[in-house]
Amino acid sequence: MSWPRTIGARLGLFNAGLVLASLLGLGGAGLAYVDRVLIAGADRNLHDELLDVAVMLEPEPLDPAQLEAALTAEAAEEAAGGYDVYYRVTRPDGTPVATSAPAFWSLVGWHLLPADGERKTIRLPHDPHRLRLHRNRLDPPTGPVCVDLAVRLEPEDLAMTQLLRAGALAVPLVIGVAAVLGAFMARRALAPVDAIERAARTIGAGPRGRRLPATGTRDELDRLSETLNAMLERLERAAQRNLAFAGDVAHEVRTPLAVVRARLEQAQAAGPSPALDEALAAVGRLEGMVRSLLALARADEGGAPSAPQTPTDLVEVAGEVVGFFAPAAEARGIDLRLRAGAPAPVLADRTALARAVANLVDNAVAYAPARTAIEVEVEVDQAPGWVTLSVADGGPGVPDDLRPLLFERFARGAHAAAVRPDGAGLGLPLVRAVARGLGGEAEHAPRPGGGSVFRVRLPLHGGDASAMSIV
Amino acid sequence: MRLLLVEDDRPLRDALGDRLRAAGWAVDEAANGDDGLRWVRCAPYDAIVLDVNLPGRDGFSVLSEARRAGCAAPVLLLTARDGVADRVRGLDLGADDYLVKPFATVELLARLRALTRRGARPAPERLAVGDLSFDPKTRVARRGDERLDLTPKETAILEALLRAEGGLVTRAMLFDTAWDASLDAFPAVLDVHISNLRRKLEAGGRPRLLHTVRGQGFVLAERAP
Repeated sequence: MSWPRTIGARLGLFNAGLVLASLLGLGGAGLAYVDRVLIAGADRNLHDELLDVAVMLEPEPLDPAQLEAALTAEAAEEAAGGYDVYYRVTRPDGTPVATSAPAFWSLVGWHLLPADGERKTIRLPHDPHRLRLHRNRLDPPTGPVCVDLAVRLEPEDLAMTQLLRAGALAVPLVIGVAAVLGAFMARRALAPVDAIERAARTIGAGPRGRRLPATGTRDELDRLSETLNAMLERLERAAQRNLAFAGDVAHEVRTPLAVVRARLEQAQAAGPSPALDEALAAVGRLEGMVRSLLALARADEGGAPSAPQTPTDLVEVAGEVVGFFAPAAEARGIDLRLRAGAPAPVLADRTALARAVANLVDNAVAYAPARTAIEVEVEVDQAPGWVTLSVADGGPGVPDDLRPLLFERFARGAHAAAVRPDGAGLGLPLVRAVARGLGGEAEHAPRPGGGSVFRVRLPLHGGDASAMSIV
Repeated sequence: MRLLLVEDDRPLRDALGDRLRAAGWAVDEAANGDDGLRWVRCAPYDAIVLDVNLPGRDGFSVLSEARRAGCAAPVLLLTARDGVADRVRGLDLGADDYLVKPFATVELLARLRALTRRGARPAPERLAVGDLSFDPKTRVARRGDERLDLTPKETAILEALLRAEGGLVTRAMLFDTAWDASLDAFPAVLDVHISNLRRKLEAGGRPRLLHTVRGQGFVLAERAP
C-alpha cells in the first residue's frame, strides 16, 4: 500500500487511527470494569447460597440423604430463577456427603477448586459459559465440612457478548466518521494552499506582477503568502534591473556605433579594402545584436506605453510573414504553407508580434532540409479563449540536452553555430519574451515523425482568457 | 543644397558632417535644440537632420517650433529609440522621415535625396525607365508591350525603385514601403524577392535594369551605377 499523497488524506487516516486506539483502550477498560461488577453480583449470590447451606447443616444428626434432597430442591429453585447453581458438601478429608449434581462435580477436577474461603472463575470444556466457584470450610455442630458452590455465569456472559457486539458495530462507524471529518477539516484548512499552488504555477509563465493570493486572515498560510510575495517582488525587481541594464547598454552603444559605421564608410569611400569590408560586416552584426537586445527589452516591458497594444489579427500577421519568407523557402525547395481559418484577434504590439512570428519562420526555413514542408498554423480555441500559432518543420529537431536552453539568451547549439555563424542566440528568447509580455507562452515540442513544432499561445482578444486576466 | 544637422554627440556630428559634405551638401551644424532653432529662423534649408534626444530642448520640441515658425523644409529625425510610439509622434509633429541609430550613412543620403525630390514636384502619372513602364493607378508594369506578372510585393518594390528615378534605394527603404518594419531584421530574405523581380524583368533575355549596389541597396536604371 502506498502512503497517501495529500496532507488531507494523511490527516484523515491519522485521525481514524487515533480514534480506533482510544476506542479500543477505553472500550477494553470499560468492559473489564463491567465484568468485575457483574462477577461481584454473582459472588454476593454465592455468599447467600452458602448461608442457606449452612442452615441445612444444622439439624443433628446429619442425614446425607435429607441434605442431598434439600440441596437438589434449592438448585431447582435457583434454576427456576434463571441461575444454574451447583452444590457439594464433603468432609474435610474428601469423603463425599451430599451433592445436587454429581455429574457436574465429576467434571470439576480438584486442581480447579479455589482454596478455602476463596472464589475463582473457571471454564470447563464443552461449556460455553464461565463458572464462578466458591469453596468454604464450615464447622457446624454436625461436624466440619467443606461446602463447594458453583454458579454458571450465563447472564453475565450474555451481557458481555451483547456489549461486545454493540461495540463491534459502533467502532467502524465512529472511525469512518472520524476519518471523513478529519479529511474534510484538513481539506478546508489547506484550501488556501491549493489556491497558492495554482497561482504559483502561473507566476513566471505570464506577465510580471502576478502574486500569490493573500486572504488577510493573518494565519500561517496568509503569512506564508505574504513572505513569498515579498520574495517574488525582490526577485522580479532584480531580474528587471538586469533586463533594463541590457537594454540600457544596447541603447547607449547605438550612437558610438553610428560614428564607427560612418567613419568606416568614409574610409571605404576614400579607398576600399577587404579589411574595411570585414570591419563593416562586424559592425552590421553588432547592430543586429543591439536591435535584438532592444527588441527583447521592449518585449520584457510588456504593455509598457512605448509598445501600445492594439487588437491585431494573428492570421493576418502570419500571412504577411509567410508571404515574406515564401520566395526564400521556395528557393531552397521548401514547401512553406499557412493553414488558418477564422481571424484570430489578439491584443498586441503588431511590430513585436510580427517580429516574433518572423523569427520562428526564419528559423524553420534556415534549419529545414531541402524538399521538406514547413507548416504554419493558426488555431483559435474559443472555449478557453486562446490563440495558438504553431510552426512545424521537418528539420533535424532539437537534441534533448539543448531543449531546456532553447529559449535562453545567447544559448546556441553546435548545429545552430554551423548553420548560422552570425546568429547571436536572441531569436527564440525574443519569441518567448513577446509571448509572455502578451500574457501567453512560447514552447517547443518534438514533431511526431521528426522535426520540431514551435508554439506560441496568446490570449484571444475578446475571449474568455482575456476576460479572466482583467479579473 | 543646404542642410542643417542638429546632433549633440560631437563625434557623430563630425562624422555625419564630413559624409554629407562629401556627398555635396552645404552643412550647418548645431549641438543643441536652441542653437538648431536659431539656425532654422535665419536660414532657408532644403533639409534638416534632427536628433530627437537633445539636451534641454528635445528634437520633438525643435520640430514643432520650426513648423510653427513656418519652416517647410523636409525633416529627417534621428533617434536611438525605435518604438512605434516615437515614430508616430515624430510623423504627427510634421517630420518627413525617421532613422533609428545606428544607421548607414548611405541610408541617410538616400533618404535625404528621396525627401528633397519628393518636395520638388508632383508624382508623375506614369513611371518609366528604358522600355519598362508602370502605371501607379492600375498597378500594371510592362516591359515593352509585354505585361509583367508580378506579385503585389514585387510591384511595391518596383514602384519604390521607379520613384527614386535612378537614385539609390536602400533595403530599409524597401522594407518601409513594402512590409511591416519588423521584418527588416531579415535583409537576406528581401534579396530573394529582389532576385525574383529581376528574373521577371529580364525574362526573354532583356537587358538588366535592376542593379545591386553592394552593401548599400538597389538602383533601377538603364546603366549600372
